[in-house]
Amino acid sequence: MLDIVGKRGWYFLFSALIIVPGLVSMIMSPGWITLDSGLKAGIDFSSGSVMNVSFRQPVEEDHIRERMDELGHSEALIQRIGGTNFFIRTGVLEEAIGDGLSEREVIERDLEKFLGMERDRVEFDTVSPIVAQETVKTAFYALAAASVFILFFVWYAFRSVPKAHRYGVSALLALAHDLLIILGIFSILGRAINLEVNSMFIVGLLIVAGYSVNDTIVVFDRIRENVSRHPDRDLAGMVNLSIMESMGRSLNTSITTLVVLLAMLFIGGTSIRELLLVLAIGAVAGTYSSIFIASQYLVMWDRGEIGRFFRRGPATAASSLLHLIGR
Amino acid sequence: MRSRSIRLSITILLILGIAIAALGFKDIDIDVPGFPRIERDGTGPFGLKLGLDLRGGGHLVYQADTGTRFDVTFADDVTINDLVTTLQGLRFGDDDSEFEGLQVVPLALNRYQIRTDILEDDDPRGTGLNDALAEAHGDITLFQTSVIPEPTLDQMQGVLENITGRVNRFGTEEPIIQIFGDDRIIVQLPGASGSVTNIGLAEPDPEAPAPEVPVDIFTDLPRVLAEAGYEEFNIEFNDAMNFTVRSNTVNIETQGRAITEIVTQIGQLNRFEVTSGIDDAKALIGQTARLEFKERTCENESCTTFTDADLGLTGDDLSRAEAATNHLGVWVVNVQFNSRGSDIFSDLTRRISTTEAQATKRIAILMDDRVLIAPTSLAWIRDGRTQISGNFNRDRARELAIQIEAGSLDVPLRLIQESDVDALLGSESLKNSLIAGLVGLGLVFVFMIIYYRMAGVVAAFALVFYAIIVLAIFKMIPITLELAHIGGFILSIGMAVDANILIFERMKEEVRIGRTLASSMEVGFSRAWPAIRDSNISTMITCVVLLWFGDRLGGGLVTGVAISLFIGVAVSMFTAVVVSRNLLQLTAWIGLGGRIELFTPESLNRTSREAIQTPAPRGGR
Repeated sequence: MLDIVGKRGWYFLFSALIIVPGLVSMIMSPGWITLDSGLKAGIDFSSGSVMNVSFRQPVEEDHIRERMDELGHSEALIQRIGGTNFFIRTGVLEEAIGDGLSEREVIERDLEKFLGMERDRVEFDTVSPIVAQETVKTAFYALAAASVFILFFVWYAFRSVPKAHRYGVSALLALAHDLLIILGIFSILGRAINLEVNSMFIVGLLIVAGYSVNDTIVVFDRIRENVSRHPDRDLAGMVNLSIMESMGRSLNTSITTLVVLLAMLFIGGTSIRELLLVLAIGAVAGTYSSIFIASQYLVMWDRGEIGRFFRRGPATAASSLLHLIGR
Repeated sequence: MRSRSIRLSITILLILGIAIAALGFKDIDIDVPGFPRIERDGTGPFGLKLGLDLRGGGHLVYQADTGTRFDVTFADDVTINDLVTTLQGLRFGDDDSEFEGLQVVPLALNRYQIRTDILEDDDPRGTGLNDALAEAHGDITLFQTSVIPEPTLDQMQGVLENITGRVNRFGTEEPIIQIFGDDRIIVQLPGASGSVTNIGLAEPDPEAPAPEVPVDIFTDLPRVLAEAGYEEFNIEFNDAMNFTVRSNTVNIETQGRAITEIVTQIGQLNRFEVTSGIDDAKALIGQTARLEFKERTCENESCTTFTDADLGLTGDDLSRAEAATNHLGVWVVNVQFNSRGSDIFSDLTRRISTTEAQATKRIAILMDDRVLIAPTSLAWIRDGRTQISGNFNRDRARELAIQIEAGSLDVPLRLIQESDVDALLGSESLKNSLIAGLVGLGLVFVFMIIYYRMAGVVAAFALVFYAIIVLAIFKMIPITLELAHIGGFILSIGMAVDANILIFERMKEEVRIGRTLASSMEVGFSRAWPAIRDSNISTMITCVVLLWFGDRLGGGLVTGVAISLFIGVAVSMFTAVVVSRNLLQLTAWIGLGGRIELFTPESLNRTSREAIQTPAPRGGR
């Protein structure tokens, strides 16, 4: 049988290889996790207007930029989202005053006239700063509240095994791991390809929270069963056995979930691509963390490795990580 | 055992039948006395209710625009840019505080309204502003401060009623208007983007000679509309005589041509109405629309300086307002005062219509502090009828008439969020998501059947069952489906498969250690159950917490996802544990039970050959 538990240092290292660059990307100037630094905040979090438009003929980004400059929107961010579809983001577009045209109307008419934009295929969003701040705050509270409830539920559900609270904490640590991976990847994608996060991104994080814990509990259930059956055996061995036994199920479930998500991502509309991307990353990260992260926390906790890891200070912590990898 | 299973099968079939009936009949109208009436007639496939991003429309969020207002009139010329620069540079008090939520609105030449967040009476930003502005821009002829406090619930109710009145008069189909939080109003206007043309044909005159070429409405109407200049439209044939055409924005000329062409080529019209897009709706809905009549005294000949005296005459004193063209063909709003208004107006016009008064006196008609028109009164108007003009086009006149009739808002509103999706784009999204969902489902079937053989076929049936029940529940609650729900629903398909996979994997293990198929099924189910139960409960807990917070987050977006995921998870537990299990048992009984290799191909090349040699269990005995 494969010794998965023994190599746990490697898995943490692998996760760190994704999470650390992501964190660095998020923390890097201009600010700390303010959403307008690392993560490219869409209008949902920073206010502004967004238009998704398409053209009858092939158009280059530069053509649109030229028109937008002409109209006094040099702040516009223009991105191709495939074919003749473009994403145009501007500051908050002003409403019409009296009989005049709204700024949006002016832009639409101009792009229609000069570049052949299809005016009946426009998606338009505008958000003011008030709404932007609230969304992030509420999502954070919701996630925190959900975490507390999940902790207590897992604690209760695993009461038949010793130290049940550890299962709850480990499930939450795995959840944090998954969310950090998503945040990190989006932060890097934000720098690389200007991918913005919007309220769909938040929705995605919340769904992943549900999925991640769900997946972890399935693996934990196996551990619960094996530990109850052989209470005298070493936890590490039981965890390893449980992981191997539930491996087939874990892989198959994430394959079927991914298949559906990818079908949506490639065939479905562009409107929820951020959501689908978050869910796809979340499905992979969730499966990975329930096998390689959550259960390993249990073992490390059982052996007192976590306490040692932190008590020794950074230098020895690094060497203890190396030690973990070494075996 | 067996009879219990048969009873269960019948129950399952019954549920399936009800679900299929709920989806199969597009329009449902059940009215059993003593129960609330059930009516479901959504516009989507199976009569599902579609949200704005799938059918097109506008979603607007308004917030009560509270704060402190300073109305300032300068003696000298001051541009808005100068004023904004000055205001941004000002610092007050010991802690150098600035204005928050600063906004400057031009009202007239050298007259501005400065808006900020609510300031306390003794706030140095309020008390020191007059002097600071005078220092920067010279004499100030008028300086007025007003505070718009947080609205009360009653006020918001009043605003809601007014807006509902406006939207209904505007004529969009199925609008949703609701109060959200303490100080917000959400307005959803389906199909409000682009144009909607409602066409009704009159019954043909039986006496009239039959046309030489018989009219085929299905080919002729699209052709005629295209000839008239309609672009990229789709037609809903409501019945033989009534049609709804959704298109991009159509201008007045196109509408005129369409009417002529229809009348000459198809038949007499009963109805031809065009409701227009979101921009018109927006201009209409959010305006405070406080109409005021004031007595203006000019101080020079061209009346560039003047004083306005309050008469206590406002839009509330009007009983009717109507857009019309006057004898010059100019769009105006005809208004009718109520008896109180008529008295005041009569008194006013009597006083200022005299020859000497005409030189200096005007009637200033203001809408939200902006002058619409300030005419000289030429006659004593006693019946309370008058006309408001002001260089309006047709839409503006109609909009004003609606606002005046529905009344002004007690609380000024500010548009804080807007999202519009064109109808055409919406229907494309729906189509794409449906195709994507079917493709995804198909791929999952293929995977499951290759991997789990006969059990995979059972899972596929269970999944179809699952999809039908979930859609039926969506329809009957009813849930207004948006793209995010479809995303949640499709993800829940993945999770629904999970329960099946858990059971099959356990079953396989049991077969491997040598159990018969029937007992493997039983043990597999009971071993998989705690994992299915606990993992799904945790997801449901997350959903419930999201629901709690949801209505404060993203305007219902989160609520929708949470509900669809919750329903998805709950139904998936039911289908896996009840439907899959029963189907598996049935397959075992119809004689496939002996052929274990159909269920778990792995058992052949791994461990227990004896499992295959075990005689076929006749289940239940």
